[in-house]
Amino acid sequence: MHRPVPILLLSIVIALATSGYAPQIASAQAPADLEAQLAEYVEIQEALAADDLKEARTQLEEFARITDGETLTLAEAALQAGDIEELRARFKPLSESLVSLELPQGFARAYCPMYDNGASWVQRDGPVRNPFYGAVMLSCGVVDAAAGAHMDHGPKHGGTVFMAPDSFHHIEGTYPEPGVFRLYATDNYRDPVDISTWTGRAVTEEAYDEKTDEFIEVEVFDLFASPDGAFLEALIPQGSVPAEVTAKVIFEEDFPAERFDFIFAELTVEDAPGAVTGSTLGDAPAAVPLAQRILPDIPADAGQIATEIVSRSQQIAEMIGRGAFTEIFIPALQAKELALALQDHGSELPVGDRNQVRIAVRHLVRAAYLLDWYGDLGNKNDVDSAYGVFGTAVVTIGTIYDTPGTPGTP
Amino acid sequence: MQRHTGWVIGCAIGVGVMLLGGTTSGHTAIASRFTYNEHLFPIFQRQCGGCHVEGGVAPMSLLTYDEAFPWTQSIREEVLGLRMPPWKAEDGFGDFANGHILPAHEMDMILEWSSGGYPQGPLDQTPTAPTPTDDWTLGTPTLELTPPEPFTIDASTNETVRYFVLPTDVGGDRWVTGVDVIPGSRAVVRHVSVYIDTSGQARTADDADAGLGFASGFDSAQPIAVWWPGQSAVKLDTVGYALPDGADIVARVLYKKTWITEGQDFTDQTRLGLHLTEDDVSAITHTVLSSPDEPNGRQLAFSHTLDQEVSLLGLLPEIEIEAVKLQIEGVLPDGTRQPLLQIHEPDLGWPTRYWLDGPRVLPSGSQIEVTATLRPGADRETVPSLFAGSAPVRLLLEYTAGTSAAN
Repeated sequence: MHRPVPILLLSIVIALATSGYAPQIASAQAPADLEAQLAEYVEIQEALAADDLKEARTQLEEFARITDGETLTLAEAALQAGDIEELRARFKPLSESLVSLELPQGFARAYCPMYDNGASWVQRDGPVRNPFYGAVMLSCGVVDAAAGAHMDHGPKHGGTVFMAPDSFHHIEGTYPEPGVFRLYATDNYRDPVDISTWTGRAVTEEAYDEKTDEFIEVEVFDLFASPDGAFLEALIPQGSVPAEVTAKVIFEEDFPAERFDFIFAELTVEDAPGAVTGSTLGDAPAAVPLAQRILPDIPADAGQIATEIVSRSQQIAEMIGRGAFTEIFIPALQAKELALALQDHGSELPVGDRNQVRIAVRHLVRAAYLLDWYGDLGNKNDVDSAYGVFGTAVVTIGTIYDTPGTPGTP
Repeated sequence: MQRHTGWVIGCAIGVGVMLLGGTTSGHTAIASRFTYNEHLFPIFQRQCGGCHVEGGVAPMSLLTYDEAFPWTQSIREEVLGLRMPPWKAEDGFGDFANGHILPAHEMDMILEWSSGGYPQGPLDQTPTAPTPTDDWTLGTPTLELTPPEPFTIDASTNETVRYFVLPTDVGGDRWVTGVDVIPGSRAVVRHVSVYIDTSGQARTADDADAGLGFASGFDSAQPIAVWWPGQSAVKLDTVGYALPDGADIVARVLYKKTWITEGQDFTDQTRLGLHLTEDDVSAITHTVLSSPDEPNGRQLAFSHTLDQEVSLLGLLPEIEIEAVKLQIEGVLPDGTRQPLLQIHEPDLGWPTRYWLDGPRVLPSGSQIEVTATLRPGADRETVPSLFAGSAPVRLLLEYTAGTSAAN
């Protein structure tokens, strides 16, 4: 896994061994192990992210009791801060003394390029929780890959899995029996997440308002957490398969709902392989770049290339139709490769057609990446929008090359 | 105008979007075939280096890996949203002399790299970040003009427009065939437009303002140059702007700070390099086209019929209503359509003059057709015009009468 080097360069290596420094905290005790220290440090980070000066000080005192050496010195300096902004400024060197360590599972490095010319910290693996800006810019920053995280996007309950926009939660939708929609969540390590505090709704019918470009919910059912917090469930009277259910999930109070669109052709069977998974890449070695693994064969003839592009577009349309959004990236990115190759044949066309292809290729490239992105997130509206751009470009190409199967052509 | 929310918004649309990409946490894999050192640096240098350079007008440089990598998801978002780079003219719909859009293969490299683990590449191929130089891009000018003293943008001012009156005294009538710009303070000079004033209006406004230059009161209809960092200046040949003896040059400078430069004092003494000729060249003139105030559905469409043959040279559109696309075509009397300019996601923040790579001869009776496709529920935001227009969509056409041999 690639790790951005600068984060490491920012840090100061900590000497965890006892240094002979006399702790200033009255009830100081022997330094705790790294995981325990980080667990306490993260409490400070969380308090600062929540703009809670009192709690940050309390946790800082606790941290000072279980650390030593340079981190203790830095913690003591932070305790002298007069207000939260000063505490944040002093939290920066304390954080930098920790970020270069080999982090135990569950912790991740994060980096905000804005605060004081760039600042790193350690947090629980998950969405960015910026301790330097708090509520003003809570999500400002980027989280480095966490230890133990992996690329498993497969279903755990036989359903369909999407990534949440926080890049941390995996959301799986199932339809285990008529009229029952369930939604499970796992974290970065694919461990189940307690979602008893989540709320949301299942929407089975929407209407599009052209004036506002918004979708209005017509048929809505509340999502309720199961008693054990294992899943959210909505009961949909007279519900049956095939079914289309849009889950709008609120992960945290006061945050907007995130949208996930599920299409169920049949009832979900818990132990069956997932109806839709994010991985159809076969057994290619992971060390080979993904873009390399999905490269299509490029025909020598421009007309053949156009045919392949139209074919990929048809595959995407079919995948959208059955809700296989996470599979779209393969034909989309393959079509993009084919389109770039087609551009090399531009000189074979009259100037007007050549220019049209040039425009179409550029929009197709952009739309392919949008489909890749939106497909992972499982947002059908965004996928449809991106496919609108993609499809328009494909029609241009297919029309110019007189490709069979091009929408709108005989 | 002062704005105090820039840095917050900057993060919201910048770093904040890092999380939206779905690749920043445990799912980032080295999927990219392209690396910064081998492939991305030359693109960033060419396409972004005018602003995204150390000390430049953008809040971050992209010309070293260490500076670029924290912004990869923002880069991805901006490119996917067609917001960056700010040159908007569609490649293949008109050809231009002063810029080109990010081509498909370079867009592909940026998107694959930024969404595919953003690898740095071989360290022994680490490029050296260039330092901006104060060289005239069009060569040594005939006449160099600069305000008499530096203008101060104080710490409390985040954005302001200032006009500077620059008298010319070249001993007779001349033609301006090129305007070069060297910003005095690259960190805050966001945009410069240049005018010729023979009315004395600018001097009057200058006299009425106690400070260096003036803030308002000048309504020139035709800029002779429109510049932002990274824009190529154009050297004209057989056409030019008439500069009567004793006329003033007026520089309109937009100063804009970022969340990096907010709260800092700056001084600026931007220099203009004018290329002048006494030779007989064709006079560049202009026409302003204005849209109706109200759209028809999601379109604002309008046209203008030319009452003489013209050689079209440049297009300066201004859109102050949310649009997804602007298209300008020339329709000849025989119905032939000439693509002139197509813009996706027009941006009020980067007014751009699109200078054609050669004159387009349009016979008398030809029409200029302009169509803006609006967002659903598009809002209108009034922005200062560079050519005193006021319609929601307006277009400055620059041309010479008859057939020009070249520009």
